[in-house]
Amino acid sequence: MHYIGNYKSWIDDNNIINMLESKQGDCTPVWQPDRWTGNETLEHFRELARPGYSCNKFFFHQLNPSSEEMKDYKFVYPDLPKQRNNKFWWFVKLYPGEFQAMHVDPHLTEVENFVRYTMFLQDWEPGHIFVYDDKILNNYKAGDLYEWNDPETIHGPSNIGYTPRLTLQITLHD
Amino acid sequence: MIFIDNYESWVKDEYVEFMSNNDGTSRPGGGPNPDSEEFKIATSAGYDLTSTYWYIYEPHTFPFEITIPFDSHLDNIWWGIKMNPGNFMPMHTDPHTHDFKNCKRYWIAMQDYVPGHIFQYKDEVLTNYKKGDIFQYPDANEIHGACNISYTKRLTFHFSTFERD
Repeated sequence: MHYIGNYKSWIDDNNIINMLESKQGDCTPVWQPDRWTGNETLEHFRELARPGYSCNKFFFHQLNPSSEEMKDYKFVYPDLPKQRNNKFWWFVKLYPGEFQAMHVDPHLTEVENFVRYTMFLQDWEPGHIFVYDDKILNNYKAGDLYEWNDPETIHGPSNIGYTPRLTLQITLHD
Repeated sequence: MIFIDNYESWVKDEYVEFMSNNDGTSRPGGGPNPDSEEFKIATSAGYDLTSTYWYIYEPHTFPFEITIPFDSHLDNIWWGIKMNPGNFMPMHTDPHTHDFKNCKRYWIAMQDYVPGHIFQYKDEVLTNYKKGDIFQYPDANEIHGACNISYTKRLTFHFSTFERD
């Protein structure tokens, strides 16, 4: 991952925080075995996850174009440095105690020439955690945008703080 | 966090085996919690204090004679923590460090670092530590927390030294 720039003005101009605070988000299970098929890496993670996470008691929240709460929402993409033929966005809203187990993104394993962005929507707070590979990202600012280059970068977010943790995720690909 | 030294020989295989195979006491749901402002804030943030978020091992639930790795001539308390995948400990301060005089708080890795085994102290996160590494909190009263979003159990040990009034 590498830092692209700060997009705080995009957050403010589009009233993103108020919008996200007004919505619950889709409750999404951490354990999604049906999504973790199709290639060796995904199936490896599915089997790793089975002993600890298949009890189906862990959830996180997200909002994407298919979410009922977003059906009338007009998403305006930030002015990104790269463009591709296809693009997809989703917000991740982790309430206190929510997380995603370390994983690779299933949807990126079969697309070409992809670009993956993460934008942090709030200043970093203690307990708002993002791990990728063996690194942890701290002390970011609202609007900080990072680009990923490797679809198989293992990563995971967690919230052991006291406020919902909000991020924007964007994928571009051909 | 202040790195003290590596005490791998202190981390006995039998400690790790016991913690791996026995659950200790469920916390915070397995016992009474302090009637503190911090616990009230945690509840209002959405944490369910009747749930199991981690397991603790204390002298009455850990079947080994434990001598802390150093400064054992001082008054001290110790405990072990297990977090299964998906367990977490919200950011908090330790009640006892506020109460004890000249309290020093230490953290012991019972395993090598695994991505997804997370310990956060203030704005610092420990990574790439080795089994037996001991760290001291620069300020025993500082906020900290932990979680396990990996696929393996996360085992740590803790102790504090202090002076009696």
